[in-house]
Amino acid sequence: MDMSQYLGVFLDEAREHLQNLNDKLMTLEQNADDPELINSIFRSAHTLKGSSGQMGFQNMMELTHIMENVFDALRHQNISVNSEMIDVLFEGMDHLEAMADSIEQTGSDTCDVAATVRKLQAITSGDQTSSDQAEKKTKPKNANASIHGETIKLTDYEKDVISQVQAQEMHVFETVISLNKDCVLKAARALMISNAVEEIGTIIGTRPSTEEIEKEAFDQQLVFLIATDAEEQQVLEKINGVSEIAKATVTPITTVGEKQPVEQGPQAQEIGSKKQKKQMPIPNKSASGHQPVAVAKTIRVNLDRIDQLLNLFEELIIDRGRLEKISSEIDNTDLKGTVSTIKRVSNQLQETILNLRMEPIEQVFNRFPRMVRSLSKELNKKVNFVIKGAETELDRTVIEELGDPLMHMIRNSMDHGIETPEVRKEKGKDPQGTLSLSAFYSGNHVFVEIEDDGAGINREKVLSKAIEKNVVTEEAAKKLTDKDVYHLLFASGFSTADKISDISGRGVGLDVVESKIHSLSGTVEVDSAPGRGSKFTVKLPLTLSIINALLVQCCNEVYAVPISSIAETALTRNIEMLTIHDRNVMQYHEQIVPLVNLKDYLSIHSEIKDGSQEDENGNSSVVMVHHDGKHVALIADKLLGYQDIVVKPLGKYLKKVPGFSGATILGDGKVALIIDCQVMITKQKKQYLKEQA
Amino acid sequence: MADQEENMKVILFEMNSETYGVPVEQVLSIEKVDNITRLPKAAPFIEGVMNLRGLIIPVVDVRQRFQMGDSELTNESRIIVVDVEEMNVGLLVDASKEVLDIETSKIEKAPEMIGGPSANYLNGVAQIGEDRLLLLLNLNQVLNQDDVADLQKIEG
Repeated sequence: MDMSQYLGVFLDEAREHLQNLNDKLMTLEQNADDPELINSIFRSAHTLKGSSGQMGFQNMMELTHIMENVFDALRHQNISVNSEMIDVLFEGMDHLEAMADSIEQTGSDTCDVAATVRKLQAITSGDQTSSDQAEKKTKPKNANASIHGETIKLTDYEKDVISQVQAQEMHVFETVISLNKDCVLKAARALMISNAVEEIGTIIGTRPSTEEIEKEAFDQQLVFLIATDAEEQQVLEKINGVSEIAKATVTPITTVGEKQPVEQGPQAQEIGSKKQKKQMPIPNKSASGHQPVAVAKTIRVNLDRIDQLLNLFEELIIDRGRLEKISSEIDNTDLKGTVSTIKRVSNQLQETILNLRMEPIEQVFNRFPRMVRSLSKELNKKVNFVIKGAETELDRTVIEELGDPLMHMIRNSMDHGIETPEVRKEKGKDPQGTLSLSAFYSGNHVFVEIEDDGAGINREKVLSKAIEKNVVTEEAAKKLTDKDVYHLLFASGFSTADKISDISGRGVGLDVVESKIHSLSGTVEVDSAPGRGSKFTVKLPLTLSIINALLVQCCNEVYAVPISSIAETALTRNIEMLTIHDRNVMQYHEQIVPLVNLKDYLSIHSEIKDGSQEDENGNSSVVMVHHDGKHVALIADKLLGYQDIVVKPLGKYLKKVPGFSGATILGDGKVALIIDCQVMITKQKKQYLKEQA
Repeated sequence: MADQEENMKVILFEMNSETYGVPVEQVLSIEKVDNITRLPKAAPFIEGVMNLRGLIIPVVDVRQRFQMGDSELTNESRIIVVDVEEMNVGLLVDASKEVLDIETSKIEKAPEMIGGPSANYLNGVAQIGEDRLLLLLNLNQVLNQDDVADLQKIEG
């Protein structure tokens, strides 16, 4: 069967299981005695093994299998959790993740895992199960691990099914059947037997394998493993109902004990079938202490389709606008009612569609506990890592981009923030530092905070470094506020670490952070209290595709200003305009702010200035926009009001046109450009500096 | 019938009473001119942006692009939306009415012309009808922005 069409689903599933394993392993280190936890780990590993086997990824299946042995030994309390073991298991996890990546890119799961496999085997062989290892060729003799009445070696999968079946108080029989020596159509006979048996139960496994039976690749003897509600005698009767049988014996299998670590190869078929069986509703799984948790049903949808849906919806909104206009012109109550219903429904529809793109930030947060764990080992620091608000939802595109910047900031906090236990003790702090990663909503934004209770940022040290590296001049440095100084950490070519370490990189990390966050229309701030810790705050828009904006009119053109850039609005007649060096400025909170007439900025030609000189009447408006702590006052003819707008890119052809972060389509189908205040403010500053020089 | 001859489907449009053509494969649609939003700070030949079924499409004034003066919008004016190197761009032209099959063998190398687009922007010319000359546009070149940058430099 061609499996390629299932590859995407397999990889998604595999990654989910790997994530689950990662999370649970982290917890396991702290809660070694939680049986539910280890069961859950075991189940994930087991499913992963099954599906990788089914997809034909032998290496992945084998590695998972060996890891599963460790989990199984843990489950049966043959070995106990320790830190080295978790390290080795994580090593295995890394390989599995690498395999998943390699499968995605090259379609093969080749990966050298020999060293890890040896370490993993050493864990299992270092305990009671070592007898299994040594005697894997023979029947296990360990009383606890033996299977009574067993004449064949059971596979892991079969044992699993057997224990599940037995948990449902069904019987499992091993049926040995010898066919007559002169039996001609052995395969047909075998089929008849299996049909007969399936009338009263289910065949769990066969010896030889089903394929071999179909090819008649056996002598006279067949072994069926049967799960059934019926008694021994009934099974025997059924089998004996088939002719040409020389002898049949039915032996109950009573206990399933330990699993042997080695059995591979021809059972791929059986492992493959496991997935379907797993999905069989087995109502009572209490044997493994597992209570199924109600999980919301999900399907995977290509993001393009959602975008397409959004595009179609936007067209609908434009037509809705037209419809509203028409209905306001025609005085018809029915029409008005219908239009208002359409409006209400489409508003809900918009919310729903936008929500489709939202995903919990958990996806990014998940990968950090492990990173913190390994970093704390590497750095010999003790860290209590706390995650809050992982359920906060964000636009998917933002989530995808957020991982790297957060990683750099966490590394930075681990490396430079939190002190070693010795230093902390000296300072009278808890030797274990706390690093918290939290996400929450506020207004139209999502905030992500990384807070540590470490040494904090040393203003002097940062400044001297910054001056040394020519990031700021000595003159300018004196005027900087603490926040400005801390922000220097994000300047490129800046690293305060006395030694370069692998952890926070070579001074490139935080620089990347700021540009990345900016590209997501977000901002990042640092706050710090020396000796008590520091806090990085990332502020992100809820979604990139829809923003709240103020629509402003200049002559007969309409522009949108993102509300995230707006500090205040006012009427021109209420402000005091000043002129300094031939530039119009105004006073704003003890700051001198340049005034920019949008007509000039947008080079609106005098001929389209429809003659209205509203400036003189003072009826025009001022919009105070800010970026990075700097303000500019924009003068527009008229403020049309706030509106949620859908941001559309201007496209590749216009990428060289500066000053606009995109465009949006208004209710009347016209395009309005979105003013990029960041560019405008930076430009104002440059222009100012140029004039000064 | 001459089976050997290869035909090429071309969308024809008018500008300055000349007939131009672009291959039909590169054309997505032909739209009437409706609500073009001016794009400040863009090159002079960029007429603005328009909304094409939810997408923002830049509109290029072809006449300006070839420095043949401003286009005047009339009822006949059309925007030919083309897809070039995965960019969707609208071309503002005086009129567009016909689709024509021309034999590739009849296409000749473009001569240098006076007052029209330079040969760079043309893939060739072909005689159609009695005294009509078809100028086949090389859209990749027309929409090439490096060239534009140079042009702006010269203009200062």
